[in-house]
Amino acid sequence: MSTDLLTLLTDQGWALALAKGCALTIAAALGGTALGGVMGFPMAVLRWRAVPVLSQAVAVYSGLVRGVPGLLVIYLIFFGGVQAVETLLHLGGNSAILGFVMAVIAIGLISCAYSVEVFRAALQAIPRGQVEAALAVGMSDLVAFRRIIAPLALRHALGGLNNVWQMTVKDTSLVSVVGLQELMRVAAIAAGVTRSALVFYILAAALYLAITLISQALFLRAEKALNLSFGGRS
Amino acid sequence: MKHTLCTFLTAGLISVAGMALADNGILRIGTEGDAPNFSMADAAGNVTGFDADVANALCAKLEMTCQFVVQSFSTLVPSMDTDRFDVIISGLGITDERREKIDYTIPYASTPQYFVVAKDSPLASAKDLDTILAGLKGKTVGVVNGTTYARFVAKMAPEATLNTYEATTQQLADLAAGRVDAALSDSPTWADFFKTPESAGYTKIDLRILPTADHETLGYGMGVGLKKGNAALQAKLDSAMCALITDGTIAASSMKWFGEDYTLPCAK
Amino acid sequence: MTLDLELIAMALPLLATGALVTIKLAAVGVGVGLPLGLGLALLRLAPNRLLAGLGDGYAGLFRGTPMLVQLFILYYGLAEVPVIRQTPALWWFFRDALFCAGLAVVLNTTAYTSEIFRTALRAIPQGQIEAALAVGMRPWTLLTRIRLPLAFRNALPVYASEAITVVKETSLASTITVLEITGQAKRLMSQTFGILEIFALASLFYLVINLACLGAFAVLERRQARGMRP
Repeated sequence: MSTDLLTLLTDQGWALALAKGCALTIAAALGGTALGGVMGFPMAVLRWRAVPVLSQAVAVYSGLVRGVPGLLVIYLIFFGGVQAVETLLHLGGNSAILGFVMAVIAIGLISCAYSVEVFRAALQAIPRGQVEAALAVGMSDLVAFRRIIAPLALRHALGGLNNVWQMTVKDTSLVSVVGLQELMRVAAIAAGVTRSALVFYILAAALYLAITLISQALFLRAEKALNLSFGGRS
Repeated sequence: MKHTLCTFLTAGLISVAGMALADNGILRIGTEGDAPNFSMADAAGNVTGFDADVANALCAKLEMTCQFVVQSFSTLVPSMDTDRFDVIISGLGITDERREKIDYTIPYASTPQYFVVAKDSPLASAKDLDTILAGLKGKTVGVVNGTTYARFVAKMAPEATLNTYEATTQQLADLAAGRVDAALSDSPTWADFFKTPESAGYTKIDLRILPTADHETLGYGMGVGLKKGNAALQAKLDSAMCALITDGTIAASSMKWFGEDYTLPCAK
Repeated sequence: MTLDLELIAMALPLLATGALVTIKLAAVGVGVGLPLGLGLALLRLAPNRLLAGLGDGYAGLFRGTPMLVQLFILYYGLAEVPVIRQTPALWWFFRDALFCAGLAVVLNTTAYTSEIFRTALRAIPQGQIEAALAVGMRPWTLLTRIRLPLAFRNALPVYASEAITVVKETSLASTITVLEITGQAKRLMSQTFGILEIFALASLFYLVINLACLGAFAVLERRQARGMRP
């Protein structure tokens, strides 16, 4: 059994394929989380400030995406959105990149819906007094936002963003059903070709676990470092 | 701004004119990559099999470079609609319904389909289609999502439960596990399946199901799928295909992968 | 974009059939996953290090891996194991895609539910527990009369969103031949190419189920609050 596994992994090259799959999974999750964060923060500010129309639009988007399965969102993007992306980004028909970009957009759209809620909660958690104090010492709205509100909100948001990241890593597995050769897809192909589904899906599970555990540890360290710079106690 | 507008317009114009041919000499080919002997993607992302042979022969004739895009079968036609690749070469059957969405080259091959059941199934010795279809009533039949034979079973045996799979390998795994009472697929798939130890308890019902059994669902044989309205590419592919059929290239590849010649004569 | 009424008329009954399966799976997920998750939370807070460690390990494993992998291990992986195929009772269960999907949903939500109730149980002020012990309550009475009701009240709003997650996670059943809402939608998308219409309709079904779910929990919460009044 163990020699079989070794043959599968080394002689047939599946270890390398799985490693490549891991790299794509991490890259897609990073891209998706970054896209979600970059879009999510301004959206959260719109919600926080209750900007008419825009605030409601964000609420509808976030509520819709958080209310339907990620798989359904991914089917929508992959079946329906390819042409739009190709036209917008003009990728010159490079399908490997296009597949990846589609995955990042699909995952980013989902991740963003959750990031909005995290950032909004973080903004709301800022004590009114701190904002008022900043304005009282003569800071302009913009300066107060940049120097006081945004840093405070980001710090409050870190725990929530950790959750979003963990979820996003796991969501990348859904992209496998539409063909991006990430970890889950490599495992599924290997399972089919070698007729060893159990082995390869357990391997995939172990690799996902490694990714989530290691990133979890990194997040905790970042949280500690951030708290220190705030003179925090923890 | 002017620059981006320019690239935008050019991009639009080129894609209208069929950019793949004129542009960079690359032909992007959508294929399943998960169908034994037809289209098999390995760990490195290379594709081999009958589909890959047909694709490579076409590219060689047209003096282009083949670039394979591997994704599950049911997403191939919708993705073609949205420009993920230029052509589909994936044992794709020509059907009237798909013709409304995409264009085809001339058909180049046709594989007979067979039902496979457990050896002790009452259907194992069935001799004609009507007996089989009647016997499937209330049974579970495994098919691959979006295929011609999935439609065939849905239409001809409406009282059977359809289990649809994303990949042929998953369909076969479930057949071997005994989760379905019968499965329908083409003879090359079965030839491959019956080489494995898992197939011990199973048998092919001895009845060749050909497209003539029901053109509406089974279509007219396999063709290369391409985006609608690209007459220039279609004409080039047609003449290249005809040459490959006539000089025996396709037949040789069919013999190599399947041990049988499934070539259709060039009907041009 | 023109709305294709014929397409909608064809899709609606299929999606409605799918919705029944989605509801069934979600009901199993909440009905079985809630008590199991509660049990797991208590296990994880047990004084016995080994038991608590096992509980933590289970929760970490299922929360750290995608449910799709868990589902494929249960459905395609276990079907390869001879013992499972040769034991009639086991094979009766694992042969059925719907059962496998239900099991995956339960195993998964149990891990997340335990996390919710662990937090809630730990949030109970120490003073309340000490007070109960001071009046001579036995540990079991303390659990059923004080700790669980308090934890329940704290956790209910959070658990409502876990229930919505369960509804959404049932969509993965579509990858192992179960035709719930997403499975039907996928089949329709590959047959009719009316991608946006199908998506909108399927989303509508999910939103209705979610709203019903949230409504049910709001009622429950109000009942709880009423019970808490002196």
